[in-house]
Amino acid sequence: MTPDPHSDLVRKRQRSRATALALLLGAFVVLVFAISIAKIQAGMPH
Amino acid sequence: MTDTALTPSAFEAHHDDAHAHDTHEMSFFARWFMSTNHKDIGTLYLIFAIVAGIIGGGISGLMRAELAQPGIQYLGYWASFLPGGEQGLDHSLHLWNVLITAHGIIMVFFMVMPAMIGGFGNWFVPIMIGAPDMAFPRMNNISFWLLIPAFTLLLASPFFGGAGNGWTLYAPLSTYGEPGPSTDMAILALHLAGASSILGAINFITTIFNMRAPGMTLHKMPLFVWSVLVTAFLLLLSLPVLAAAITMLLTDRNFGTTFFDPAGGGDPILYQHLFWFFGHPEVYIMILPGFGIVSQVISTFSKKPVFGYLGMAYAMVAIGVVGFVVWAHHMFTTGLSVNTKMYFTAATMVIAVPTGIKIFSWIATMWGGSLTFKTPMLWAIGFIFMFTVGGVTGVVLANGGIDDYMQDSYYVVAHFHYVLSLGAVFSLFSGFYYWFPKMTGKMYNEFLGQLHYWVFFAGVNLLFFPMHFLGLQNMQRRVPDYTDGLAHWNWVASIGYAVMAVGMGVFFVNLIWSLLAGKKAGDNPWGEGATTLEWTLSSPPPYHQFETLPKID
Repeated sequence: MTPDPHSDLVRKRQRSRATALALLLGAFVVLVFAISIAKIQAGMPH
Repeated sequence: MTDTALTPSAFEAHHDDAHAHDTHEMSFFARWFMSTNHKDIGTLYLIFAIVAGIIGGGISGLMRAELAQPGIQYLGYWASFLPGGEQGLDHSLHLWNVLITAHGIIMVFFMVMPAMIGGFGNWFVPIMIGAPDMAFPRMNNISFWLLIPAFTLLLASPFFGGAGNGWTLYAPLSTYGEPGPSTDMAILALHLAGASSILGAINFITTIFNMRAPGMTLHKMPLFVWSVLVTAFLLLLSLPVLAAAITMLLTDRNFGTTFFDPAGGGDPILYQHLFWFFGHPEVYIMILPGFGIVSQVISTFSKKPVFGYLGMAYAMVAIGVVGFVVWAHHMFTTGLSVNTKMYFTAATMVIAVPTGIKIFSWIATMWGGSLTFKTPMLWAIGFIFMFTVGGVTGVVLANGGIDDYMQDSYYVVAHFHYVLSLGAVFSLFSGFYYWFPKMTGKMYNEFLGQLHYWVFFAGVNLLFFPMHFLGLQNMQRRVPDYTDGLAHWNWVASIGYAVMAVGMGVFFVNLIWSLLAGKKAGDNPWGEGATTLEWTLSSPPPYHQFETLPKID
């Protein structure tokens, strides 16, 4: 059975949205990681 | 009947068997080592979790053998098998620390999480939302295979001295308190397991938000999918903080930084704050998917939609949100101010509200339902009972004043084992028996399933309930010896372990028997109560499902 063109189109749109969302979430993870270390460094007496 | 909108006739799922033969064209290596198929990866996670569970459970067997009587019985003998041989009492006591550390890390990171999220999440989230696979199948593969080096590092660490820091890796024991490569290996194991979970969380969030079939709105999703979605957000928010904390541990250990060393202006208590900012949500990461599984099972075997679907979904969201602002209840004896303790006491008790909503909604689902007590339902009802017991002792421990007395006692050990060893594990078995026919195409043996349940139920209660008494008598956790007055209940607990082990033996007999000689399972062996999309597919499902979009009204 060949997937119908409508399904293909919907799946393609889903994939492009998924890539954008995954990049955003990945950036968020890096941000939280970096902020945790930066804030702790900033809190230490110099 | 998990939600309010779906009925078996309200959607058309496609048995797309056209590609079912794909598996025959793949070599064993290609299918199982390079798999990008969510069902195969789910199976790999489940096998991994079973292996890790045997190892982690075996370690707790060693611990219960040692604790069966007062005094040090076996630790010296066991220590003689490690490099360097037997080197006296300190070495034996260090081995004890290594055992408790390994047991905690293995059960949390390599058994419960891989089984709940990696195993059942991978298997059923895409199917339940009408998707052909996860959003990022290759990333899914990486997520799984990161666990292998992580687990290997942890298992190898005892041969390099052994990491005896406890699963929390508190500084200063984990910084300058324990030199040698073992603690670095344990930290790196957590880094890899954390990276695996972060990639998995991104994949689940993306899949659930973007890959739902048309008509599958958020408020029509099965509660198991809701539970995985909330869990994925908890992972995404908490794990980077753990990663940062243990990265700082590594730099303190190896590069001369002093993040957690007062001599250089650092603060070891800061590590505890960072750890528990991850660690408390981690508790919900382990139990929320269990909530989802139990909701599916209770609904199916009550032949009723779950009571208060929206309340159930948003109760999980509320538990997730509040779970982030209660972390310092793990630190009541670290010198927090009275006001701070009052806040964390109150905030912790608030969690009982959404949790209570869930407990009462499960009971209300069963109320007036057409109940059948198949094995998955027994485990689900057992979950509700056991989790409630653990929840009630949690409310006791939430009081900062009471915790001053209870901190680090066996009462705490009893509490978190009722929530996890009985709560999370009961929900895992519930899900395993519920979905076993779907995953394998074979029925499990009902008699052995029920026997497993009752023996395990008796065993774990015999094992963990006496720990409440021991804790009230102030038996301290993480210590392999105790006074003679505590001998009776310790003996009972060790007997309980043996009973539980017999129950696990029944499970493995059932597993092997069912795989080899189980009756063929129909598409929907549970009848009209099972209304989610996986039951519209064949058992086992085709290698690729829903290539043509299912229609959901």
